Amino acid sequence: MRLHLLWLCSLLQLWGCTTPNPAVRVQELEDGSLQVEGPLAGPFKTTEELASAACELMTAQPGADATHGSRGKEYCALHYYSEQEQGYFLSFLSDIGGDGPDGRKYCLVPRKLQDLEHRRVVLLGPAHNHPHNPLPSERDMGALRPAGWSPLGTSRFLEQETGRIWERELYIFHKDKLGHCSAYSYNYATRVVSALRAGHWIPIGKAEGHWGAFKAFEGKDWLP
Amino acid sequence: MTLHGFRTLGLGLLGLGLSGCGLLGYHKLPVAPRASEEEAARVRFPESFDNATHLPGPMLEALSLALNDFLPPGRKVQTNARDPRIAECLSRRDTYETRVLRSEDGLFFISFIPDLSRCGLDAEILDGGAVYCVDAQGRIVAVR
Repeated sequence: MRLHLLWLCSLLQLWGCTTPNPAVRVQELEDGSLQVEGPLAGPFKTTEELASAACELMTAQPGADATHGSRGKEYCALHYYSEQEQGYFLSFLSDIGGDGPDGRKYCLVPRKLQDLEHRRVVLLGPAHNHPHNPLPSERDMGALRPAGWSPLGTSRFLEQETGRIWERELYIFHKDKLGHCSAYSYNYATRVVSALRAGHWIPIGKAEGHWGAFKAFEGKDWLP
Repeated sequence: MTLHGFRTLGLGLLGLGLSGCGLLGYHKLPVAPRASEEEAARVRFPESFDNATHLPGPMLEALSLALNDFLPPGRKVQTNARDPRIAECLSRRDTYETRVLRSEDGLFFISFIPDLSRCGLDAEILDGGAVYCVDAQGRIVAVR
């Protein structure tokens, strides 16, 4: 009887480990790039609302918040805009990434989106969570990348149909051990870093140079 | 336990011994390959190191400590991607642009930033590097 219970518990644990995460919908394409489906969340009227919701959503994923320490996990997603719905969306998540020997994490930025609900969308940038610390890394802030670069193409571009000029941004989310969610954005075009505070993006500084060194604006810092 | 069970356990322990020492934190330092004597004979050693990069001893020690923790010899970056190229690239020490800074209070900060173009990859990963803080006593104080 005891042996049967042992097998049953092991099977249940295994089932729990392998149950697909409904928030993750990613496909590895032939060339190794990633495609995510959409939308997972939205429409949101503003990027502030999107970031606030995305922060809670992404840091709620298994391993995504600060309580997991070195066993944490980074998820990547795309945020985008639909002219059809006049709103911002978050894609489903990708859990494709890795772990270094020292516990550091990375996720691979999806480059393609499949959104069958919207005829035409504007990809605005990646979003990801940091399980370990709230601040953008130097790599997040454009280290080793040329000016104007973004992982989804030109960082500032004109949308021909609407005549609107867009700037691509990276979102960084972190939920600390007390359950507080923090969100930062890095603008690939201007290299300005903003913090989401009380529902508003507040520019707090700028990344500079080849190494993505952060220089705070006067009177501003990572924390309010 | 049956004879079959003992045999299975024995094979498992043997496998652990053969390949699992890394899991216990033991790493054999790889021996650098040597060029031939003919190649060695053609090397012109510099007359001076005037334009060399100077690493003071304590800085070298701090860098070694951080690097051995960040990417221990023989340890690999693990990935759940089907394509292993990014993880393989991140497992190479020469993928990382490295900077070392000594603060006024004697702490060393070592930054590792991966450059996937070193492996001919165009992919973008978020994070994947680290910044270490090592003190003069040879302790890793903090990692970000």
